[in-house]
Amino acid sequence: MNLSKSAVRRYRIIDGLLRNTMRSYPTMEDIIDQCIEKLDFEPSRETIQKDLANMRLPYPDGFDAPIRYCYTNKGYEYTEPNYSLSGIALKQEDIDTIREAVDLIRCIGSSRISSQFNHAVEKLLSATVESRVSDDDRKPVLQTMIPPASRGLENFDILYSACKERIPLSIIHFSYTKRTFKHTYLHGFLIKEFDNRWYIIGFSETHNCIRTFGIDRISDPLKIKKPFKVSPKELIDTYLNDVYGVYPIPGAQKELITISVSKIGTHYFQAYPIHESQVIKKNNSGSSTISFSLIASDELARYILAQGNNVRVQSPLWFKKYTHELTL
Amino acid sequence: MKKTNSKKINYIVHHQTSEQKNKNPVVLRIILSTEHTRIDFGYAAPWIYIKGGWIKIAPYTFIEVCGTKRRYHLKKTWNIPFAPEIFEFETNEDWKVFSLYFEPIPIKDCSINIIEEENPNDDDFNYYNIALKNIEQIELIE
Repeated sequence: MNLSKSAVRRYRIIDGLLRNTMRSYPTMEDIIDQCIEKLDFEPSRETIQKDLANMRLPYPDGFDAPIRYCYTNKGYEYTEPNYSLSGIALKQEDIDTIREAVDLIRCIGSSRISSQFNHAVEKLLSATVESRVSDDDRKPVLQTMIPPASRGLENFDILYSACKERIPLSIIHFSYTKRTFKHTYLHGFLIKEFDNRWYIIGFSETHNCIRTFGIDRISDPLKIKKPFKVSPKELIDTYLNDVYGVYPIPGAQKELITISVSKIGTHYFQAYPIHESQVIKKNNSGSSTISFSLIASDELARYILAQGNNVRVQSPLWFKKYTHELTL
Repeated sequence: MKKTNSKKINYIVHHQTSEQKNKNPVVLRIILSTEHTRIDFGYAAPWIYIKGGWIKIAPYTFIEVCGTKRRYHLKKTWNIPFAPEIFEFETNEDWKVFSLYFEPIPIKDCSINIIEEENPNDDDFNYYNIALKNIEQIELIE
């Protein structure tokens, strides 16, 4: 069901008039007048007739609304008096709660996800309120970083459904560093967002191991008929829980990583822990030694470097060396 | 009466990129169906051009199955214009995946040539002896 915002608003008005027991049997003129009053716009009779027809259509194309014209009373009515467009009677507080949730998801979700979510919520709310303040008129009181739509996000749906339905994919991947193309059959099991970038993780037949691919570097993924190679659960759990970021350093195992952190840095780690395994041991001066039980990753090394003099790797030594070499 | 299967079937073959050292664009995938033969290419803008240069494809490009004389002509493209129109890159770091759709070749193991120019120079997209093996091994899901 593809609903435009203006159509949804008209449906709400029509539904409100049909459910108004104080003034039953609204006429075509009543509906148009109400639209003028609430929407500041005069729809044509044809538009309203089309709306009524659309509302009558069965699910999923319409709302299955039992609307008929009553010739005795010369107006429209619901033949089922308890009918409501959504089938769910929402109170104003329910609506407010849903709207707050929409605002929150709009803030934390990517633009693509939140737009689809918005559409679904719009359908849910379509019959519950006759009018409300439009989104454009509301000032946001919550804001998170919302990056503009990025390359590769157009493939999100196919990548997501392939992971969900366990269908292997043929993908083309371009390496930014090597400037080469590779194709592989990918048995994806996880789509992960990190630092506003999206990745798909799965078993790559070309590499014969589990690999992470930036979605921005994948072109034209195609679903293929091939037995899906299920990755071991413990490996999936590792990617879910034990890696800070998405690119574990090849050969690295889960181990205790210790860093020494300045006074200022300690405040930030305390306020914003970077992993659930984080343990802070404070010194008298306010500086600290912080440890994590993690598989070392490129992202962790870069995060540490980004903190400048506030953070130094203590152990393991190989990771200390690895991080240092990134600066050279 | 013989039962006919009207379901469209697409087979996919990944072409070895390791065999294409110094080739640009590289042939990545060949998709065979009864409707068309689609070939996917990857092109990395070369560093010899300050802004990465440009790409186009001659509309008379064709493929031929080695050992036969029939030509299978280019029907449509994706992500690359027909010459004389060109797509200009913005930098020499840019890259592009594009597809050429040809008339369908027979669905059986074979080798094909892709010919943009019969007397090619270095800029033309000519490829010889691309082996299509075990083509019915992997089917695409529509």
